[in-house]
Order: sequence, then structure tokens, then C-alpha cells
Amino acid sequence: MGKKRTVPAGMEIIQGTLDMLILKALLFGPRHGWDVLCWLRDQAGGELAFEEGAIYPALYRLERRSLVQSQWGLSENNRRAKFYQLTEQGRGELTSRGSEWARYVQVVDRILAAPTE
Amino acid sequence: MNEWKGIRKTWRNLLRRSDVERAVDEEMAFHLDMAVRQIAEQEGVSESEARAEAKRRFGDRTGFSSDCIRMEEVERRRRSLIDHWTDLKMDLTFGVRQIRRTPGVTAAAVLCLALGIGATTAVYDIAHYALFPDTVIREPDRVVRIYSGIPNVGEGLEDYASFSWLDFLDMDARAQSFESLATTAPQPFHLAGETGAQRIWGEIVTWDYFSTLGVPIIQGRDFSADEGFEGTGRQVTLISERYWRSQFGADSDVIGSEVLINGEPFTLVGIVDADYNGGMVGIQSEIFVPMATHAITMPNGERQFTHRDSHWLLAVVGRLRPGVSVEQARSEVEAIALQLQEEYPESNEGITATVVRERDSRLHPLIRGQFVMLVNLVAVVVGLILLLTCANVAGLLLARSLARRREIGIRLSLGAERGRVVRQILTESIILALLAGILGYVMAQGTGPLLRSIMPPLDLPLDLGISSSPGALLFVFATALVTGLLFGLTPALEVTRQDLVSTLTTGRVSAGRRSRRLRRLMVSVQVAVSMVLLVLTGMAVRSLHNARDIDVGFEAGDIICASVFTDLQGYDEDRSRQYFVRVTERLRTLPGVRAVATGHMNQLAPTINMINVVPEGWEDRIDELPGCMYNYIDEAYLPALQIPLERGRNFSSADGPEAPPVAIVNRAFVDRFWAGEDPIGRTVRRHSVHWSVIGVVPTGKYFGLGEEPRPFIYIPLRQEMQALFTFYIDLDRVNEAALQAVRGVFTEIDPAMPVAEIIQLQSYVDTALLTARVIAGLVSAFGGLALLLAAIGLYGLIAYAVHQRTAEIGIRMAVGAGRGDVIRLMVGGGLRQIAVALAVGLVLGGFASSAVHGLFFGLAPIDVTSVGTALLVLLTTALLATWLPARRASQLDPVRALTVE
Repeated sequence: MGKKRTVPAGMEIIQGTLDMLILKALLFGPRHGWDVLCWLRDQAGGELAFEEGAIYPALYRLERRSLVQSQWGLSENNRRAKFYQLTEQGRGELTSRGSEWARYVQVVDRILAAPTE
Repeated sequence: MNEWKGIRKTWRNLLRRSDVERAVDEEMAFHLDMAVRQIAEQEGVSESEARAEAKRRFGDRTGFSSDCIRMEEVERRRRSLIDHWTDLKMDLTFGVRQIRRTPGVTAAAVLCLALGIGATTAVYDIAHYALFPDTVIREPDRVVRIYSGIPNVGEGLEDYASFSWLDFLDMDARAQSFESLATTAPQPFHLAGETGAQRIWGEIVTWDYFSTLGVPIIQGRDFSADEGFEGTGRQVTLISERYWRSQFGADSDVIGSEVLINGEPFTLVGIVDADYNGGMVGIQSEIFVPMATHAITMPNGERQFTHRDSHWLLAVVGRLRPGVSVEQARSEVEAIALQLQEEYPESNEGITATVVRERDSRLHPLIRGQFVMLVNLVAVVVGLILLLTCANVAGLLLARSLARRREIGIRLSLGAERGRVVRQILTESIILALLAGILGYVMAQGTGPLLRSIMPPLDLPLDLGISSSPGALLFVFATALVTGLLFGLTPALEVTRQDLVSTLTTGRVSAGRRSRRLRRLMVSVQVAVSMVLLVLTGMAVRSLHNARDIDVGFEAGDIICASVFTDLQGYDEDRSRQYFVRVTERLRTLPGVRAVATGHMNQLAPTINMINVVPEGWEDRIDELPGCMYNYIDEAYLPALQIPLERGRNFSSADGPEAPPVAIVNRAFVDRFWAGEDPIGRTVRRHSVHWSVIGVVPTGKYFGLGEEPRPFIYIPLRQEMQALFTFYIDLDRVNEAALQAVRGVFTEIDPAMPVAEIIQLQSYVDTALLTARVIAGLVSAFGGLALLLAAIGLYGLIAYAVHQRTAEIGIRMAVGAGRGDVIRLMVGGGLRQIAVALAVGLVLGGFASSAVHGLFFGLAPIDVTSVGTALLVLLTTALLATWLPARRASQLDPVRALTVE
């Protein structure tokens, strides 16, 4: 997915979680790519680092899996922009992936917190 | 429509790459622009610095965008495939749902179409069978037939008459255009089998007949040159594949075995390919013998081989030498005929010859012309019916789709492509058409059996082996598809050609002026054509009725006929006479037999047999004399058939071989040759015999019911004994016991003598009525169909008009119009719509009537009864078709009528 160059400061995003984060960003209604990015950045408070362009291949991949669907529309400043919307399938995916992630974090936490001998 | 869509799609496929690239590019550019603006605002840097920062944050744009493009392309390709499939599936489900939602309309449409398609297919089958039969003939382009032209022979046979044997021999010896010339004649045979002898039809042929035609011998061998006319006279025979299969179980061992033909042993040498269907379409030949065996196989036929003026049923075929054209052959044959005229002026005066391609003469050229005309006529009628059917079904579908106009309007406004909607409606109509095609094909399969079933039994092996070829199947589906497109396209285009805004804003379901005019035109055409077909129906039915009333000149009553060929059984004249006397006497002793008479041929037969006679006073006008039909009868014949004597006396048993020769003629004979004179005692000469006329009978029908009065002569059987007898047995009651007793008499007198199937005399009359019956049946079927179609169309038109004017009717009723007023208004409107069509139909009907009245019996050129009846029937139907919706309109509740929509 492109060669890595300079990565902004912050934690590098864990492989595979970007898709889940994008689905979450779309949970509150249709957004265009830039909007998705802004929402993610605001939520992360600058603690997540990734190349912004990476959300586009992710969005296309999600669309291909029918988790989102897209439509051209007008942005707030009246420019043509492509809006993405969560499908029913995408909603389901987010729920299952979300709880899976929570269990994963728990397991990782438990392992890391285990006393060492 | 669809094609355009397809082409557009293909182009889009070619352009897609840049399309996708542009979209991805635009999306990312938007992102960057937004980022630049935000960075510039938040950090207060210059735009170029902000852009550099935005680019840095975005990362590898080329890489990301190529990932996106690749995914999008795969996705689009997948989606367009799925689109196609889902489109089709949707169209099909949608079509099927539409069809199921309106079963009445569907049933009507499918039935109408099936009848139209079925009729078209049947015509195709018949035409294909008669005009372009599949042939097994090798290099058919080189095979020709030669006819002789005989002036004054009558019945239109002047140009296409048969040959005499001696003329054939000379033609064969002199003509250089042909590799070989051969000839054949139909002939009955007595073939002895295990269950006694059978009479079957076959052909007597020259040895090289099959090799000249190029018809394969599938088992055994063909005749050889030493089995020719001047050859060894070896008794050999070929049989047809059909006979081989049915009688010998396709056993190859029968080749080389002996069969008894007319009581003489013949060696069976080979089997003729089943696809050889005889010299003429319709006649089945089962057995073939060489001309050289004619002493056995054509007893009493010597004269035909020794006299040049004896034109019997010889059909001559020739195979052209390579490179010789039909025209060259024709001029040579014509020249030889002229030579023969000079050399044999007595027999050949005026006799010519001509050459016709074999493939153009499977039907005798004489019949072929008429047949082609008939087929063309029927094809035009059937084609019109099919077109009408299309118009009608289009009308039905249009009415139905107009009801969906609003829905379609909404779909169009939501961005459905017009082509897509058109395709959907077309899918529906093509499903209908294919259903109808299947049904029509099944119906057409019934044609052959139907024709056979209306065909009374005859003592002739007629085979109407009409079967559907793969060509017909192809034809049906092509017809179905074209019809589907034809009747589907109009409503589809019409419905989608709407003004979206007005449909949606007014909510009014308003058909365009165009489509209203279109529907009215369709209904008008239907009404006019129905009128014509109804007039023809009336005429056909009345003609059939008249034909039944035609005086055939005799009473068939309960008379049964049984015929025998004594000469085929080797009888000489004396034995034939004894046989005739004994059979007649023995039959008279049976209980329930009222009378027994004997004749040579049938009174009303599907064949024409003629002799040349010279009535007294016409000796110097021999050229002008037509052939004369005749029969040899005994003294019981005229009374048994209830043919009265106008003048003179009947034959008696005293008119035997020793008594002076006498004859009885009919009224037409007297009027033709001795108008206004007393015929009794005048003489008629044939060869060297002078018959003295002793009686006159009224003119009957001898060949067909439609024939003009035809001169006919009866000669006493006892004076000129024949070898073909037809016994007429008048029974109290025709039942199996009586038939059994009759058969018993024949078995008793000569167990070996085959007797043809016993036939009721009435069935010959029925056969003569066949044409009238078939025409009446066909025309009434079409007339009924057209009437039904017109009624449905009319009903649809008025029902739709009522729907359109619901609000207006409401207003009228609100301001006090009664139910009667509403009905009057709607019915009046409906009738006004078809008034012009009725008038046009009336005029056309009159024209049609006078154009074809010749085909019918006993009808005036313009048959007022039929025209009047047609008008009445059509008016009644129209009234009914308009009254039903009108009544519904009158029952509307004014308040609801106004608030509807």
C-alpha cells in the first residue's frame, strides 16, 4: 500500500483497524473522505499517525465488500465530493468487529498484565 | 432502443478507464484542497507551504490512487455482469408477474396469437410439402418432365397431357439433349400375400426410370437393361421402402424371393428409397414393375403399346446431358414433336411437346398454378389475421400499460432509462409471443390429422403426409419473435413517450393524442377486416349449404360400392362376363339387398376419364370435339341410382353383344351437339362402332359439384364387357352384418379375387363436397376469430374511454343526467367511433363478395344475405362490447366519480 515515507508524530495505526475506524466514522451519517479523516483525527486527538491518503484505498475496499456505498454529492462549500454511507451490512460488520476488538484488547491486556516469574 | 443502449454501453466500457481515473483524481484533489485550506487557516502559512504540508500528510498519492483505480475497475466489471443478469432476471420476473396478474388478458392474447401463428405455420407446412418437397433425386437440376400438348383435350390439359407409348419411343430415339429418357404410369396390381390377395397401387416403368430420376435403390438392385422393353421379359419387381417395412418387417431376406403379382411369380430384386413419393404428390406407389411385363401387369393394355393415338397416363422424365440447358432441351423436343406431326398426320395432328423442370412439376403444372394461387390467397388472409392479431394484442397491452402510465412516469422521473422500461415491456410481450408460438405449433401439428379426418375414405392411395419440418419450427419461433416485437414495441414506445411533468403534476392518467388515435385506428381496421371476413364466412357457410342441396343427378341413399379388376386376376372377357353375372345374381339373393347394379366407373369420381366420340352430324368438325366422359353400365344401374329417363328407354338385358349397339346420353350432350333436335335414333361413333341413342337422362354432376353441364354417355356393359367392375349394392340398412354378407359373396365366387375396400356411394358425394367444406370450415374459423378479436378490441377501447371520462360522467350525473343518458352517451360514442370502419367494411365486403363468388355454389356476385348478416352480427357485437362498460359507467356514484384520482 504505497511506500512509507514520513509518518506524522503519534502512534502508528495497527494493521486492519483503519477499516473498523472508518466504519465507525460513518455510523453517524454519510461523510466524504475528508470529513471521515477530520472526524478520526479529532477523536484520536493527534495520537494516531497514518498517511491520510490511506483512507481512500480503505474506503474503496469497504465499498467492494458492500460495507459502504458511495454517491457523488455537494460538500458544505458546494464542491462535488464523493459521499460514503454505511450499509446494513457495514453496520453489522462494525458491531461484530467492535466486540471482537474489545475481546482482543482484553486478552492482550491480560497477557501483558500477567505476573512474570 | 435496446441496441442503442447496448452500443452506448460498449463505448462506455472502452472509455471507462479514464472515467474511473478522473473520479479517483477528483476525490483526492478535493481532499487536498480541503487540507490546504485548513492548514493555511490554522497555521497561518502561505498557500504553497500549506499545499506542500497537505501533500506530505496525504502520503503516496500515486500509489493510493492506483490501488483505488484497480479496485474500482474490478468492481465495475463485476457489477456490469451482475447488472446484465439481474436486469434480465428482473425483466423476466416482472414480465411473468404482469402476465399472471392479468390472466384474462393474457389468455386472450396468447390464444389469439396462437391461432394466428398456428394458422401461419399450417399454411407454411402445406406449401412446403406441396411445392418444395424434400427430394432424394440426384442432381435435381438436370431432371425434367416432358408433356405432350393435345389440342381440345379439355379440362385445361391441352398443354400438359400425357404421352403415347410410340411417341415416347420416338422421342427417346431421337432426342440428343438427354442422358436418358424414361416413363412411368400408375397401375393397380393384385399382390398375393399370406392372407390372400391385396389390391395395391404402383407404377409400371421403363427399366431405367429410377436411374434417370436418380432415386436410390436402398437394398438389392435396380432393374437392368436386359429387363427393358425389348429384353428378356424377366418377371422382376421393386417395392417401396414403406411397403417393405409395413408388409415384410424390413427383412433383407425378402430380396430374391418370389411374390405373386396378378397371379404370376415375380422376383423381388430391390427396395426403392422411402422419399420417392411417386410421380405425383399425394399418390403412394408401393410396387414397381418393368414395362416389358405389361402382358401380365397391364392386361388388356396391348392397344396402348401399338397405337400412336392412345395417350394413357404415361409421365415422361428425362435427365439432361451435362451442360444442356432446359431451353435447349425444350426446343429440341418441340422440333421432334413437329417431325412426328408430319410423319404421322393421322394420329399426331396438332400434337406438341414441352419440357418442364422436375422440381417445378411435383404438382402437375396445371394444379400447381391454381395451388400456388390458393396458397398465396390463404397466406395473405392468414398474414392479415396475424397482423390483426398483433394489432389487437398491441391494443390490449397498450390499454394495460396505460393503466401503468403513472407508475412508469414515476419510474422514469426517478431516473429509469427509457430503454430499460421499453425493454421490460418488450420482455413481457416476447414471453407472451413465445407461449403463443408453442401453443400455435401444437395446433399446427393437428393440421395433418385434421385434413385426413375430413377426407372421406377413397379407393385411391392419397397421402397428405403433411408433417412439420425443422424449418417449420424455426419459422414458428421467428414468427413468434417478430410478432412479439411488433405488438410489444408500439405500446412500449407509446407509454414511455410521456410528458413526465404533466403526468406527475396533474396526476391525470392521460393517454397522448397519438396513442388514442393509434388505438382507434387499430380497432377500426379490425372492424373493417372482420366485416370482410364475416361476409366471406356467411358466403362459405351458405355455399356449403347450397352445395349440399346441389342435385348431383342421382341418389346415393344407402348404396355401397365394391370394385374388382378381373383382368389383373388373369380373367379373359368370357370369364369376366360370367363373374359379373354370378356376382350380381348371388348378391341379389342376400337378405336386405334392395337392388344390385354394375358400372365400370364411379358416377361422381375424383378422376376424369374421357373417350373421343363423334356425334352424328359432327364428322367434318372433329377438331372441335372435346373428349367425352363415359361409363359402362348394366340395365339395373339407372334405376338403382334413381337416375330418371327424360326420353326413350333404359338398357335391357337384351342389349347384349349380339344386339345392335346402343347408348344413352345426357341432356348436356344433346344440347351441345344436337340442340333443338330429337336425339333418339341418332348415332355416335367411336372408332368403328356406331351407337344408336335410345334414351336421354338429365345432366348430373360427374367430376365436381361446381362443374358446368358436361356431356356424358352411357354404354351397355353387356355389349362392351369391361374388366373393372364397380358393384352398387342398395341395402336396407348399412351395418357390419350386411357388409360381411356382401364380402362373403365375393369370397365364395373367387376367394383369390381382391376386392377394394367397400365404400358408401355417399362418401364420393362427400368428397366432392370436400372443397366446399374445407373452405367453409377455414373461412368460418377465421371469421369467428376476427369477430372475437374485433369485439375484444372494441370492448377495450370503450372501457378505456369510460375510464377516461369518469369525472365528466360524474359531473353529468351530478347535474341530473340519468343512467339511460350515460349509457346512451357512451354507446353512441362507441358506435360513432366505428361507423366509418363499418362503412368501409361494408364496401370492402361487397368487393370481396363479388371477387370470390365464383368459388362458391349458387351465390349472387353480391350476396346480400351474407353482407346483411355480417353487418347485423358486427353491430350486435359492437353494441354488446360498448354496452358493458357503458353500464358500468352509469352505475358510478357521482360523488366518488368526481373525487376519483
